[in-house]
Amino acid sequence: MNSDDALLVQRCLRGEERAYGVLLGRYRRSVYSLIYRMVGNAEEAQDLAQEAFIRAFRSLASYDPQRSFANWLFKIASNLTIDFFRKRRLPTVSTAMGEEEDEGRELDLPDPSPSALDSLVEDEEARLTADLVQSLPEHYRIVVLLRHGQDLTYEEIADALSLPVGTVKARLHRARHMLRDKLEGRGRI
Amino acid sequence: MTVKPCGMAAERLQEYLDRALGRLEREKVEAHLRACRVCAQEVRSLQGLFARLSALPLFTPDPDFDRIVLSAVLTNRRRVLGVSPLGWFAAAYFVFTLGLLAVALVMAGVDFSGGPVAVASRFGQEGLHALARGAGALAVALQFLRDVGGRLIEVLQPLGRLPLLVAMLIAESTVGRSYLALSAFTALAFFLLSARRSVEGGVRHVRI
Repeated sequence: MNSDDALLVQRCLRGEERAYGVLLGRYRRSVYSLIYRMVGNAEEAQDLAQEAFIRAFRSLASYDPQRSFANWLFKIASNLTIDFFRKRRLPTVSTAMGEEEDEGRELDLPDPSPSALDSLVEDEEARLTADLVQSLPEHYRIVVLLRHGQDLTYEEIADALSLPVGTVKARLHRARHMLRDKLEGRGRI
Repeated sequence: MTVKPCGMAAERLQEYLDRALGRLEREKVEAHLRACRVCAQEVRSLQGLFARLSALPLFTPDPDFDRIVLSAVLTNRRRVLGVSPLGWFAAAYFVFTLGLLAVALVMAGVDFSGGPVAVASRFGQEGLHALARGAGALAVALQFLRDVGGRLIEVLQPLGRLPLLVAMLIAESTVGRSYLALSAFTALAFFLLSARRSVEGGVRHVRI
């Protein structure tokens, strides 16, 4: 637990507007990335991530400072994303990110100088991994992203998704097998 | 649960890599990995996958992300906490008027001891007598307002004709003094409406 976060929450509750900005700066990218990798669309991810922060900030009074603020925030973001899928009934097959969607983002290709060759390969590998994660059914994808993207424990994922710990373990296990099979099929493992 | 030919559960290896095992269990798995090449290979393969997943880069939202969130949250917060400057003024005005009324009632000899039920009961028992005292209290309150109006005239005289006219209306006419009481209730209604509107303000502003 980041006790600094709890202090920031207290400052927000006292009406210090700058404290909201600090919390946003701390978690903006991780919340947005989690949602973006779930929904695969930048505009919708932006809307959902903003809504997650707004809901969290408006409910700060109900936040328990003994618990991790990050996990509490990811729980709100996960619930919003699950609701989004419920409402939209999005297909669960691959909607892998195209190059156009990545423009101006973290996956931008570096300058084609010799020293950048390694980075180029890394980016291609990251894109392949992202595509494979995106191809997972959403209930598998979210546990993988919470575990590997946010480093949440089984118990924290179970709490965020309101699932039994056993279900979380089983989904993670199954999702990893699917990913590994696909990577093996492409000769990457 | 998938059990390998060596007797190790496949899920246990993932729990090991996820650092979800206790010390004893962890040591057992490590001992097994030293002896079983199949499981050791499985762990290496999973480690490769874990490294890939952990290396997924973060994305950055549009530059106006913070502005939209903060504007929605802080505007709402100001409204809920502050209601609105006019709303708070209305509330203060209402409380002031209530205070005047209470002072007038006490001056008229109304006994407030024993809580609301006792007061209501006394009013019930005393009937017309209480009403008469209430009328007397109102007279005292109106007189008090007249005095306040008189003071206001003195204070507002240097400020111009309009404030002076308002003060004279309050102090010198029954209509003005009745208006004062009526406006106190209007102010309360305004305050409640303004508070309700603030609470209703929501996420609608967010999707720009």
